[in-house]
Amino acid sequence: MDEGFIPYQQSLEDEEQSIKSTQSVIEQAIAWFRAHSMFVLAYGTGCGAIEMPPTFTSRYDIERLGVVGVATPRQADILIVSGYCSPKTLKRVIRSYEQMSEPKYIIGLGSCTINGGMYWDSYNTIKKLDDFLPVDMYVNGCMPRPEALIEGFVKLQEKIRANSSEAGYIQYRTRYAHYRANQERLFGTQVQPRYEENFAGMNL
Amino acid sequence: MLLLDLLLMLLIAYGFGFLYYGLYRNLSARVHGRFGPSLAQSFSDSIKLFVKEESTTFGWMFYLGPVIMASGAVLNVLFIPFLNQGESLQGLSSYGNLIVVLYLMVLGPLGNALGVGSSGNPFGVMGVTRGLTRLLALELPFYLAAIGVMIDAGSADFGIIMQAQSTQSNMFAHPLLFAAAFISFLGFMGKSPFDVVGAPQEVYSGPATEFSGKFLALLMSQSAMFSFAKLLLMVNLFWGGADHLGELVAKTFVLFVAATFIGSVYARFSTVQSVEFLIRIPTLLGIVGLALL
Amino acid sequence: MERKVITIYHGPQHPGITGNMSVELDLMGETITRARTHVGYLHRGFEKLIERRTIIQAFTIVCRICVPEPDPNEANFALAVERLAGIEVSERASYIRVMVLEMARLGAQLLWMAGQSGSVGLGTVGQWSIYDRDLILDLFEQLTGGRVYHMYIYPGGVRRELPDGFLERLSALLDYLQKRLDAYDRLFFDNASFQKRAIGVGVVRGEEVLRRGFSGQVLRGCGFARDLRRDNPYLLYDQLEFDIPTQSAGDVYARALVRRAEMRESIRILRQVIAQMPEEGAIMQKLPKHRKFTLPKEDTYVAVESARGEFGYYMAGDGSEMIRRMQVKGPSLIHAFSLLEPLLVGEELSNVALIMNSLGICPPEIER
Ligand code: SF4
Repeated sequence: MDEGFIPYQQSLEDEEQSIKSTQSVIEQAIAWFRAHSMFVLAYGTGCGAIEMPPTFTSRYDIERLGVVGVATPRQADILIVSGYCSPKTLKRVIRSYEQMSEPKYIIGLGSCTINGGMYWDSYNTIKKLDDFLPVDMYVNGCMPRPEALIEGFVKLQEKIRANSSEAGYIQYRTRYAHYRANQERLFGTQVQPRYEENFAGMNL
Repeated sequence: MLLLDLLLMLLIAYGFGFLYYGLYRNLSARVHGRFGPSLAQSFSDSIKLFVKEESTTFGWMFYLGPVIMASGAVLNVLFIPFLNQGESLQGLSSYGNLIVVLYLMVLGPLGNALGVGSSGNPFGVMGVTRGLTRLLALELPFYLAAIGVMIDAGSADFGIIMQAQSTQSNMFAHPLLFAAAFISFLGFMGKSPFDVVGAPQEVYSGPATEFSGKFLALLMSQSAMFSFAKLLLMVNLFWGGADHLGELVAKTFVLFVAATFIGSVYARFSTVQSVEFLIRIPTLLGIVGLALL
Repeated sequence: MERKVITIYHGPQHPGITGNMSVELDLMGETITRARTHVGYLHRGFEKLIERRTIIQAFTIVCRICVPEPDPNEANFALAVERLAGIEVSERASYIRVMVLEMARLGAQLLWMAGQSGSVGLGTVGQWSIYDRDLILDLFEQLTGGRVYHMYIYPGGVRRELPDGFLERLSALLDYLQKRLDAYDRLFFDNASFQKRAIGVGVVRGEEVLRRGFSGQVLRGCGFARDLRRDNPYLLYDQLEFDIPTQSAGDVYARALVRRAEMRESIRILRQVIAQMPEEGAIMQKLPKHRKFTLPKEDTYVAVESARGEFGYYMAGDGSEMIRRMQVKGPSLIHAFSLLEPLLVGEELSNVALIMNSLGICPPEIER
């Protein structure tokens, strides 16, 4: 095996261990429950949405992992952005994300959310979702197979259990100015109300 | 002693409610040809929801809705005796009777209507309107069946109703009444074809559209307990209750499985269609059943 | 008493919509008084992107125009380029193309069945049919390497030889599907509760439907036996035997029955293809080198019958290796605007998803 790989892997695992040990038992238990019950809001923004039904139905049966689809943003923990976003869609995606209650996570599905993918030179799609919303987990591929999506969920479970402060929703609160600036640059004057008002009283 | 008894009843209802909900997800998964989640999945879900943060407020009225619903479910559980003999697990049934329980069953949906109404979400309001419309139609056949059972036993008291069935259960003595009650029981359980209230393809999740976090968890727990209460009610009224806990579990389980399987092979009726259907067939069955008494 | 009209958006983030689009509904109670279709959520500018791509570059993105059934796009693209550049396709390649198209049609119908049954809350059918569709996707994977996007039908033929034993596996799958279709009949098409929901809903009728450019099951559901495979044969469809199922009622249930019969027809066509396909033969013509693959200064229109109706491409070349102009005409555009909007007026909110699914509206192809 490649030499440099093991120490790197080791460092990742050590980090995870140290994060774990700083959590109290109750925090760990809560994180476990969070990781094993994920309510998903699958926003079919792009063609990636077509691999969602197989993932959620009897062939791949992701409900085994505790992943269930829900209908409204209010009830969801995880937002799946399944593919390219035009600005018009992105507005709705941001709206949906801001309506979700914390803790919340985003999975970006497909190359289009990473760097524009097939539509790298299109005039009407965004190229990098992470500029506008904090993406917790990317699943690459065009289109990603259901297995890839399941692996994304498993990795996200690990991330939720680590309960780190890097989680997207915390980033979105602390670095809101950055995301907001990007959104404003894209939407011009037609932007939505500021998200900050929602967490005015919170301890940041 | 009574307090301990009540607590035990609530615990049983809560535990079995969630177990049955998990079982429901598992069984329907088997019908779909997959494995489905673990049995304890609904527990994890509700705990996770309890520790989620709220992101919105719509005023206190909004939060009162789930609370009223939950108290309706709790009272329902307490007023229905679990067993047909002995001292334990009788709850408050000596203070109330079938009529009280029938009243309490309406309390929950009404409370929910208050809460959802104040959220101002059109889908929520639509869901509630559908729910109340359907409720009216559901109650007619169920009341007919309940009246028949009461006339037969000569009393509205659960103990006497169950005693009267010691030789032959009401299900075989009055099959028409049972059929009427069973169809509206399917509706009360929110099974297809009467699941128009929270139809995701039409009104998102209906009344629960705006609820998140703790209140969604409360709604989930209350619906789990409430469905156990409904199972109990059916068992007591038509299957002569249960001698001991084992029998209770067996009887409710059979009823529950039947409801689940029926629910997974029917398409959803629209509001008008389900009202029409309920007014026609089960009500007719109930009336004929009453006439035959 | 004056009743209040509320306006709601049905979509784009809604379980009852057939993709990323929305319908703005004015509701009086639960009855729709006005419906307006909104699109633009999926616009990627395909037709513009294609103007600055060579043929092989354009080929990789055309399949993404319609997601549930990408292969008619590839076939259209290949047919158009072949017609402009004057390329003949071998018989064996044509048979393989027909096979791919029919498999895709079958898969799309199974996916439709999931949507249609989901819209009336009969989730079980969807769970089964998506599984069965996955078996077709498995075969596609063996054939092309991709589950959903195949990039297989290229101008000049098809890109890969069939894997060993592919046709046997295909015919085994057809036997299985044939049996499954009977199960679907019992659970879905003959289900009294589905009939109750679907009969008499979303009725399309009259001579007018021909003039307004509707196609696919909308036409066949009200008695017009129109099918491009028969009316304007492409590939080898004139040598294959199949029926064009029609119904006369014009409602959601009639369209469902048409689709049910079409699935059987697809299986029949596939059986013939398996029996008749020549053992040997080239699958790909010799093509000019990538940069020398130019299109003459001409234009053409080709169309194939997709699972939802007529799918056409207009293509023009200008003597360079780029494609000068390509215009896509799918069935959904017309269905989603000039058919859906009037059809929804007077219906209940519960029937919106039902009607949309039965018209086979697929947003990515409306706006490219
Ligand atoms: S990554 Fe590929 S499959 Fe996914 S949305 Fe983009 S083009 Fe479609």
